[in-house]
Amino acid sequence: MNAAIEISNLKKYYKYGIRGIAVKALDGISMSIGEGEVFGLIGPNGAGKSTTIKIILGLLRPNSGECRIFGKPVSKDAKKHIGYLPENPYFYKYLTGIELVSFYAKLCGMKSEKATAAAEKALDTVGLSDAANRQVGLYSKGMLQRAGLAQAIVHNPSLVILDEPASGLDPIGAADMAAIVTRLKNDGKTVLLCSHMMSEVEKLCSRAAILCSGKIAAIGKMDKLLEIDGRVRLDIDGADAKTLAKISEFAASLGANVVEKSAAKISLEEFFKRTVEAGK
Amino acid sequence: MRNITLISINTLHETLRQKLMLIIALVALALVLSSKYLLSLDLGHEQLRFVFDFGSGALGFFGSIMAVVATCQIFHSEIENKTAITLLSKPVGFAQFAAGKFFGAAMALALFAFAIAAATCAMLFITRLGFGNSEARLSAGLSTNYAGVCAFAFAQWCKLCAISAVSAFICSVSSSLLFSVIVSFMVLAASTAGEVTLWLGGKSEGFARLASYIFPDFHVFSALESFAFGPIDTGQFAAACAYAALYSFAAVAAAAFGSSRREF
Repeated sequence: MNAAIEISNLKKYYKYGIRGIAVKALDGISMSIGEGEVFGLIGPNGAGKSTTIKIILGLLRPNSGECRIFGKPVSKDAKKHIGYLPENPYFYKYLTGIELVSFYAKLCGMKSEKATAAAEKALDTVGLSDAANRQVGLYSKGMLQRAGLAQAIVHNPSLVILDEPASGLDPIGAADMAAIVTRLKNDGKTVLLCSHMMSEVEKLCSRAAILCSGKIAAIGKMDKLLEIDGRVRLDIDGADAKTLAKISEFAASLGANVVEKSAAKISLEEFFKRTVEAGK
Repeated sequence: MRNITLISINTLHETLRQKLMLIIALVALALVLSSKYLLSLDLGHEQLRFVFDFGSGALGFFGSIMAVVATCQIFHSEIENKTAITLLSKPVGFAQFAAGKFFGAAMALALFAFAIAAATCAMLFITRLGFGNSEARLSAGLSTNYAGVCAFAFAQWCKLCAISAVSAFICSVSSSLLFSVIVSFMVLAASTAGEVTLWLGGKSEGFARLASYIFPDFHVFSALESFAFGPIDTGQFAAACAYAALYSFAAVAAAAFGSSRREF
């Protein structure tokens, strides 16, 4: 698999004050994200996620190390293949949704008519067709997030970088966002997903990296990262306390231990979605 | 070039929506339109020249304020509102960003210069109409050259563009709007001081000459007022416009370099 993003030994320091005291933001991170992969970048606040993204986009210069996009150094040309949804996107409030998205499409080199058509399609994809002719200043937080996603995908980029895509979205909006990410994956796009919502990353990403204090604390396939060595989970239907006790005894006779027993539950997100759907 | 055009048109929309800019433009326009009615304040000045001075003053004074404030505001609002991050994540170079912002401000200034020039011409025409039978006495031998007024306004616009370009450069290296506005006005003050010094007979040599290379040399434009009531000196006109164009180009190139060193 070719690498969509290749980062090697990236270091970044921010200097503050007159004396230029340096604060370490990235401390030699290296990783490779393959083409067509949905990769999660997670970590606590101040771990260096946004700094990494800004370096990939050429908005920040690393103090050392290298970043390559589809084998090329970060440049204006390389950015043609990137779509970026910033965390808390801010846009020109006086433009309408369609004007905004077609403005960004034109900046990516699309001709006027093609840009408008692409903007309409992108707004439709994110579910903003109805508000396409409304000024962005009148959009809610969730609508801004959708508009942000529309401008990120309007030029059909090969690499989509999403910084907190579900921020400000209700669970249904977040599910729509997840569906779009899945669609992007099915279309063969590479997605770099940066999020604080672990369930979102777990569900969508095939691989993930955890950044901590500017270093990669863990990286690998999602299944492998979350696997507990030697343990298996069984979901059993229709078992009462007696049956469970027998199962535990049987497991013990085979040399295995039942470590944890609890009622099977759906996630709160799933429960919320079901309840809202039922209430409609 | 296309990206610069897109950014500049967007910047023009943004500038025209700034209430402060509209207020400054309206005050300037009101001043020009009231010039005929302020003739009673004239103390022996030729009436037509009095009216023209209002237009010239409005263009120079309010135009300079607009050039500084509008440029600084559009640069910093883009950075502070974080719209620059989305913009620069697209295939847009830092030089294109700086040039787009500058041309957007230049277009807004062009609209302002056009409005003031049109109002000045209208007021000169109305004032002349009011002379009636006493035209020979009241006009004091002055004949309005409307093309000259327009040429003067164009040259003034070029001067405003040079001021805007300097502000763009200052914004590209500064981190606060207030700092950019203050330093831009200091440059404006230094240039005006240089212009006054030369007008009073001071010589442009040594440090003064060096300063005239660093700060915009307004003296180049001050003689063009004579176009309003006399022939247009094409050489002088072309020299002033070329100077402003070269100065603006150098300042915008410096702004592009400043932006490219900036981290967003």
